[in-house]
Amino acid sequence: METILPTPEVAESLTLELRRGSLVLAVLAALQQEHYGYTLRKALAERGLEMEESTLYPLLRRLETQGLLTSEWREEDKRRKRFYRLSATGVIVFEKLLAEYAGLTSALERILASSAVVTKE
Amino acid sequence: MNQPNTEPIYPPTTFALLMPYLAAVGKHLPNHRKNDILAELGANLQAAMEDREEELGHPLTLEEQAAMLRAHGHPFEVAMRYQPQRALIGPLFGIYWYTLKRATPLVILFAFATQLMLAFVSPESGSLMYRLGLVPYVLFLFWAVTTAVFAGLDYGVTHYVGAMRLTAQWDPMKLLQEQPRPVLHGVAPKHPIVDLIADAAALLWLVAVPHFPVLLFFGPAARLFHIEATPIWHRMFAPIAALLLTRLVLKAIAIGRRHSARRTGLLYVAADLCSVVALALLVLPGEALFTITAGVPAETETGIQFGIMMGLRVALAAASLAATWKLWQTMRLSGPADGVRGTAVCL
Repeated sequence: METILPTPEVAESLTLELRRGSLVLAVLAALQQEHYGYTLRKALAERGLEMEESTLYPLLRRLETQGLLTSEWREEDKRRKRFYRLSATGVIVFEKLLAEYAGLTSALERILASSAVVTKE
Repeated sequence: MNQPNTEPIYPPTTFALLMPYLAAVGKHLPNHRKNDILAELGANLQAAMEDREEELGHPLTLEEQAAMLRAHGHPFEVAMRYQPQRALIGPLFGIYWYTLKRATPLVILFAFATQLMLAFVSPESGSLMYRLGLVPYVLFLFWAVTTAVFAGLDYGVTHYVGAMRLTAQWDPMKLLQEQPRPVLHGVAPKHPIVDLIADAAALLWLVAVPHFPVLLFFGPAARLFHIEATPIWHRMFAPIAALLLTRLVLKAIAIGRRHSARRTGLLYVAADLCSVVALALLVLPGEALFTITAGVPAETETGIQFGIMMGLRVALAAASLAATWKLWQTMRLSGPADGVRGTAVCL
């Protein structure tokens, strides 16, 4: 049977899908501490999660609209910035997501481990 | 959310490209959220630029600023990411909405003109009112087809092409070449599209009056009288309809973004002059516009006729004054009357 190789776009699109949910989780986790957009991006990048600014900033607004974040305009270094942090609802949702993530990760680890055994055999 | 003041605070001029970039993003943002989004985006980008300066050990050159803004994204793409997510049309929603906003007045205009022409050229194809009644169907069909096409394109882009990257061909340095746009306060309408639709409705009303004279009155009074249009309506109908159609076309042209402020202003002045002439054609002969054949005493009818004629005369005087004032405002604007630089902002 002829093997049809997927186009790079397919892999890219699947990678994006995989990342999308994880990004929200990462942002919620980081915003247990207060941040404004740019410092949040730096904090995520320092921990190995690079995120485009034009993706992160609108995402913050969307999460705020969904009630998961609260924000406040404040002056810092003589400049007004918008600081975000997790709201009370955000904390509850974050905990649920975290539990889901933990369950998924352990299941995936088991699946990947067993498939690794099968591949070796 | 604590939001004491959301006026955008633009950074010092050292970041020469940042302000025009934010202005370019702002063009595609909804008005009610624009200042707030731009203030936040400006603060974040400025912080990133300052960090970059620290990293490089020197103030950012224009090229370095341009590289950062290019990496951040094309203003249109950036603005679109702030739009709410939608189920049927996702990434292309901004372009879809932009297309609808731009094309709808032209479709209305085209449908009007076509149906008017068909009604006069080929009367057997249906009465004028019947033909004009088809305009909403044409509009609905246009919306339906456009939505279907964009839904298909969006599916293709999302599933096969990946995200559209306008950024690849975009040069942030071009932002510096854009001239500040003079604002046409009071000369051009704040919402030109809505203004155009209102004009189209006015034209529809005018076209309908000879067939339904009762439309000269609005409200419960209309049902009490038996009203007939006088010959002046039939005599003046064609020139007035032509003038109002010209006014509609002039306003549609004025909406184009490539006109200078003066040219936009002059187009609106010309549109206003069309209505002045149309009103003059109706008022200056001094003839009654309708007769009431039943239901009211002769003195009452005379009173109503006088009131309407006086109202139209006042409207004519007001329209003439407004056109003169707009012409004066337009002539005060600096810049070429026919150039393409320094495009106007309609407010």
